[in-house]
Amino acid sequence: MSFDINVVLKDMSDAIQGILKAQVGEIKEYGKEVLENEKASLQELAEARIKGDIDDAVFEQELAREMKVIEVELLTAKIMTKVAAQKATNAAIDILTKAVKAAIL
Amino acid sequence: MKTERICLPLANVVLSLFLLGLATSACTVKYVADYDPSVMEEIVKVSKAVDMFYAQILETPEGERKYEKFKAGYINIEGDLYGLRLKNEIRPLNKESARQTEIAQELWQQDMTDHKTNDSVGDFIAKRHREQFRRIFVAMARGERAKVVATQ
Repeated sequence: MSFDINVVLKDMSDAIQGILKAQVGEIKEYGKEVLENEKASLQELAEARIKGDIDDAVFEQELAREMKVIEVELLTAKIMTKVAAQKATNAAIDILTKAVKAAIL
Repeated sequence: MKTERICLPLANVVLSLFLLGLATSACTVKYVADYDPSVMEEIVKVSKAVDMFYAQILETPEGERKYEKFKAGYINIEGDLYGLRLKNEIRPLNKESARQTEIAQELWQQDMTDHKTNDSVGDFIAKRHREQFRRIFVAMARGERAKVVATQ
């Protein structure tokens, strides 16, 4: 069986795009959730300070704390991105190795 | 020449075997740790413990929220968070999850210190921090669950 690099590259590219499309959609949805959580939390904090329910010291501490919570949430987005890259890369490698194997046998 | 007639077919055989080996070998990349169901269980267990802890604080009248009353709870959960952090830190390719648990531990220790200093916790802070920890544990669980898909 012959080995056509152009066909193989197209197949690899299609596989990568298919996987990334699915995974990126999920990451975007997660990103929206994170932003919504953030909006609600910061609004509550700002209102509490404006109304005088909390003072500057508590406001600053809570803001610093909020940044750490956001960091945790964004780390999950990073994990999801790495998962997408791993799946896409391995799918492409799989296509290539199968094409080479078929050409040898 | 006889040597050339032997060498050329032999070179072809070696090359074919090499390519066959490459094609049939488990050639994959890995960017994230494998999914660990025991870590997922631990995340759920600790998140429940933290949520119940804040629920107990909020059920207690504000004047009765002395640190001594909640000290054992703080220490137990601190231990749970330490265990979760350790589980994450020893896994290769897992620095994001390790950092998440490190942050959870830092925020828990901050709560413990503030409660000890003030010898009380107000409703605003208790509700807010309860919600923050909920978000933290959801993020951790989503991150861990994402690793299932990595090898599918």
